[in-house]
Amino acid sequence: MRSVTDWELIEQAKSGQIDAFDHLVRRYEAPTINFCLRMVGRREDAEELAQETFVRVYRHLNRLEPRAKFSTVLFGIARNLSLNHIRNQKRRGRDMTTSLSNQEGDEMPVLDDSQRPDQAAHIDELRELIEKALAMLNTDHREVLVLREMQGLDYSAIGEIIGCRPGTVKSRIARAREQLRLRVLELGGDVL
Amino acid sequence: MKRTRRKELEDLSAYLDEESTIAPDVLQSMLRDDAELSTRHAQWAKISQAMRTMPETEVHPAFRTRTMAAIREIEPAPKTLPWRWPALGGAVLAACALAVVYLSNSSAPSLSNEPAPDMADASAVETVLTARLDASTNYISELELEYGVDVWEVDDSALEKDPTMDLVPPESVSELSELLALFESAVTDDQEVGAIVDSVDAPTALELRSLMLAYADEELYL
Repeated sequence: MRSVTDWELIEQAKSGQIDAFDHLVRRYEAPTINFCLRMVGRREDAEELAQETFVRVYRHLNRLEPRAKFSTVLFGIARNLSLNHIRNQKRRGRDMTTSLSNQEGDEMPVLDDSQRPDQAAHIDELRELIEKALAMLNTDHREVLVLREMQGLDYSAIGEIIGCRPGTVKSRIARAREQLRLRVLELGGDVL
Repeated sequence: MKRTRRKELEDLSAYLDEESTIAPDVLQSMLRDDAELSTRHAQWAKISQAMRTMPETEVHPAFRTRTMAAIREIEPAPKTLPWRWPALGGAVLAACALAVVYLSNSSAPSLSNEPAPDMADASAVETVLTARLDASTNYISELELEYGVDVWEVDDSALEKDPTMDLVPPESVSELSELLALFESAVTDDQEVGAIVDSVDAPTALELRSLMLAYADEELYL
């Protein structure tokens, strides 16, 4: 059976079916929290930002039009809220220096059964370094990498979210990749 | 023509994302002929693979319960806000009219030898800017009234330090001007805007932040 599209759920929510919006929240809660988490670095803050993202979508429900993918609209709002949060933190003298993997309550990567234990341990180590290295990147670089590598968005969708042409996204991702590689090498030496 | 290193790296990165416009055999030959490029590509691929297979953070069911509880308390905004656009448009028109009047006054040859009034020291840009700031402040208040809540969270730490601040100091006007120019030309380049916001004094930063959010809101929802 065909699953209901995001925009169909939005239409249903517009007509007062709040369960449809609940369905959307269920569909996007994990990607939204994940995105915010990688942007701001603290689980608690990420959940607050994700919640505010959904609240804003709902508040502006009647103005939403299916001109782009719903995920583009959602991540656009989450991104703006995350950037504002980061600015506030900077102004208050707090920065994103804590690595995600150092926080209590964060899930460690799950082992894939098909991996040999040594391979799995190697990937775990690499992921841990990547989390730390990501937190060291500037916001511009971090956001494009998260949108591309973790959310799987294409250059055009990323461009819509961050307000750049796909060509700019392409060069920014290349620079971000290189910065991330250098940081991982600094942190982990031979893991690559 | 020899491609620059930067272009090569960009194409290689796009190739990893299946977004390259270069023929795959060209890229393959680049990788064959250039050991450094080949190493970098292998490392990028490894990182990329690790990131793409990172498990999503588990979401506690309480998150959705909390979010839906917050949502049930609000009403979606109406599709259009007919009163808002005339108000904003009127403010912009008034600002333009001010600028025209001011520009024509300042460029007209003076018939008397009297010194120009103090106002003439300010540039037309500043006049327009001041008017636009007023318009934006009103606009923000209207939004707050409309939603019955703070549309955005204002950083009040600066206010705590200096409760008397409520005006933009004149020396900050050029910084505001710079920022508004940025809004208009590249409103989404947050990094650049952020750098300016961080570089100005606290009262100005508050004004800028409000303006920025007002613009961002418009950008997102219209």
